[in-house]
Amino acid sequence: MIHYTVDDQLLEVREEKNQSDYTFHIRVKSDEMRKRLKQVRAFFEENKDLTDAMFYSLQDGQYEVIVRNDMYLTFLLIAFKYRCLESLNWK
Amino acid sequence: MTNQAMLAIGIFLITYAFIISEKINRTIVAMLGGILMVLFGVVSQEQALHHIDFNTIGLLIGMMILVIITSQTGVFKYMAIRAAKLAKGNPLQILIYLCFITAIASALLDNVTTVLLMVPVSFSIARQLQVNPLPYLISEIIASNVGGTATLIGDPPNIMIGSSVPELDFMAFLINLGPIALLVLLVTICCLYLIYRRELQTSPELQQKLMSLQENDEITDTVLLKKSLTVLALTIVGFTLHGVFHVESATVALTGAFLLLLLTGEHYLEDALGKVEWNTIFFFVGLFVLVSGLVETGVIAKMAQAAIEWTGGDPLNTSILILWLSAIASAFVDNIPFVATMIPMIKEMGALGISNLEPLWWSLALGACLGGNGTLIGASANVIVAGLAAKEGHPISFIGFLKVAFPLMILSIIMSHAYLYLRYF
Repeated sequence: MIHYTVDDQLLEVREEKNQSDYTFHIRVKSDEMRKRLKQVRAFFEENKDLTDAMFYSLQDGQYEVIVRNDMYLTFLLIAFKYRCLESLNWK
Repeated sequence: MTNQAMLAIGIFLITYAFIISEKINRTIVAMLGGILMVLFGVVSQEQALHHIDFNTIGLLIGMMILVIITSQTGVFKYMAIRAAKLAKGNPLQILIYLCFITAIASALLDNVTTVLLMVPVSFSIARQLQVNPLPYLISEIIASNVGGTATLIGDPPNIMIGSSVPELDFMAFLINLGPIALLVLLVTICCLYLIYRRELQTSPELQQKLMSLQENDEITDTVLLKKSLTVLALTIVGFTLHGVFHVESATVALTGAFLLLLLTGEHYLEDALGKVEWNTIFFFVGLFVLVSGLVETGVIAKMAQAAIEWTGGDPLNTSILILWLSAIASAFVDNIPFVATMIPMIKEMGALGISNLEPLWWSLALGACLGGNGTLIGASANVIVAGLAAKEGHPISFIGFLKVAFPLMILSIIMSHAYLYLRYF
């Protein structure tokens, strides 16, 4: 099973499993992390898949990302690539 | 009929059959058909080049560049989320607002681009409200074809007609087709509301959640947004005045496109030119040469003569024949090659004695644009959305679309029939 950690000073992440997707409730605590999250968003919005990961900007630095089941691992890898995640490993 | 005419008909029919069958890419087929016309000596290379309507080509390229750059600003997502919030997250009201946005955008941009911009955000809104996205997608297809009917630049058939008939400028299209397009849109939205009223239901909690979305975060580049919207607005003003200043519509579109590129810089030039739909551009080139074979060998003149004999040369009967023929044909085959064939035929009707061709042009535009709503393969926007929906796991079935859209298309043509009769005869 994949396991990840985040820097609590910069980011809060809560994950929720739905029937066909996962919802990530994200709270960004710094501008730098906001920039990184935008890079993750740009990655998924520039590809041709429209429903792989859908980003929603909410109030007070909160974001919601709905990630399709089959794209869960890809989402985490991209989030790790842009340093939104601190670590990513199999457990 | 001469051997050359028979040869032209043969090449045309075979090419047309391949385009309809969709077995081979339509651009390759159209270009090969055009090249065969030249290789077999039906038309010379010089004649073929003379028949390519560079106004249509220039207008398409100019508008594509403008839209490619503007879409990078996130303004379309901003508008859709703003509309969803204005609707207080009510899925049915959102459907109405998205239809209006799609129709207005389609009137000012091309249909395919509009639906490509609307589909991702529709998926996004539908997921947030946990409703089926198909009612939104089907409604946007229909709204884009109706909206595109209203202006010279809204739909490829109108672009082609406007380029072939210089006296029909942007304002002429808006004044003559705008009122009926608006009426058809309003009636269509009412029908879509009734059709989807049971399906589009969500919980108050999800509606409230949608209200907390921040649309301002969708704007990715404020400076680029200001530049793009200013140039786009200037270009649209240019279209409304191009008839007054005797400037072709392609000149207006290309001026807008390259003015925006001047303001944005080299980085956007390569990106924009790379994303221009060259497939579509070469499809048009091939078709113009293909039809030139029929024109140069007198086949079009003979077809026009036969149509006039059939309608007794009566402008009303001819106009209504063109409207219904275009609508039914456009529902089942690509409306671009159909209009490319009809344009020289209507011109020929003028030479054969019908003095006022204007109602005939409007009949062709209404039939070809609105007819595209008849089936899932009736217009490019339909095919594109169906492809995207299927890829995302929400396939739109041919019959499912037909059940909703075909009656709406017939209703729109009945309204157009009454409009043409009351306004022009």
